[in-house]
Amino acid sequence: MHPLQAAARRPVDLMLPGAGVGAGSGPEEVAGIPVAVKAGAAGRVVFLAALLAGFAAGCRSSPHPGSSAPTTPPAASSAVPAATTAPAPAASGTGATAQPQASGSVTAIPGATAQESADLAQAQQDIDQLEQELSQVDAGLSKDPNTEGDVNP
Amino acid sequence: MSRFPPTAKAVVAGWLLATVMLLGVPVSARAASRQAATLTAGKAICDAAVTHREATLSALIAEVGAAPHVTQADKATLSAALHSAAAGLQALKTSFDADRTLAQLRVDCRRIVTGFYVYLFLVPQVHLVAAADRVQSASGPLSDLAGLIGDQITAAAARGENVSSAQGYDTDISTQLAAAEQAAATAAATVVVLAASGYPGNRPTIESARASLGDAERDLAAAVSAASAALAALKVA
Repeated sequence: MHPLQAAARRPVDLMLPGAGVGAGSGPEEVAGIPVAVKAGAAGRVVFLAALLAGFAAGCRSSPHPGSSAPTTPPAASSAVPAATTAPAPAASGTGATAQPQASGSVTAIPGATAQESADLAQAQQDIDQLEQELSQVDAGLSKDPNTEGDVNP
Repeated sequence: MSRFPPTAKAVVAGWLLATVMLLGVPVSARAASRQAATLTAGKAICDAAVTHREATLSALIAEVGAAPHVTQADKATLSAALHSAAAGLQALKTSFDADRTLAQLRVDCRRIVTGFYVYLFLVPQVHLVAAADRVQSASGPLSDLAGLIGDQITAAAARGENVSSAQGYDTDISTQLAAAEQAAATAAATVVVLAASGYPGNRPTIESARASLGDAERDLAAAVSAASAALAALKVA
């Protein structure tokens, strides 16, 4: 959840401790309600109406009619990594470009063999050392051109 | 006709001479002492600068020698340049240690920079070649990994599984690796032939090689990510 949404929800929840059946089962619907509705009795009425409407809409869109709280998303959408959903036809020759991960870490790949894990770790180590070499290059190039930092008698 | 008798003149002259002897000589001695101290301090600064560079050169020589993928010819070229710089610095040190004036010392001491460019040129040059060497090192396990993944893809395809995603990532590993290797090889080749005597004119070449190796680093990181993604795709295929 976006932090702004969380911040927006907090006073609303405090203001309506017994907001009804929808409060516990429809957090996604509450998140969309503007904070401004918390001001004033009219705002509370609008808020409650919107809450109920949203709750009703949530029930209609639920893949499990009759269930007040859809708890788990379909297995396919959570178990499959995002990368596998990207089309990557081998015949195209372009491949699927994966985003480079942060330096210094190779996430353990479940199911990878020991050799595959070792290759990944070794490659990442070499990349880290490459980065250190480039840092040394940058340090040299950034020296003062007249003194190199220390020749100034 | 003089208003003072000769004896008085002699007394005054003697007094003046004594004054000069008592005051003048110590003043000039103090000035000379100060200059000598300044010269000594200046030499100490220059000596330290040489010492630091000699230590740096020793480390660079060791790094070149330990690089597994740098050719023997390139190692010889770089090592000769580094040893030459070390010898030149030692000779320069002997020269400015014998300097008797600050003006001479300043001229000689500046040659520590302009005669060798240890930090501005040699350090970047050697580390760029070492960085290219690291690219070659990383390409080994990644190539091996691409082969292992390819074997898995073949086996999975034989089982009738959908391997198009994994195949795409595996192809991407090879693509990224080829780009990284090409960038590293070109950068190393252009940098190793440069000489400190060509600095700062050759600085743009060094900066270009630096940029290329930065690209190579990103290519390698992308290859690692593609390998991870391929393995994940195979797991769910």
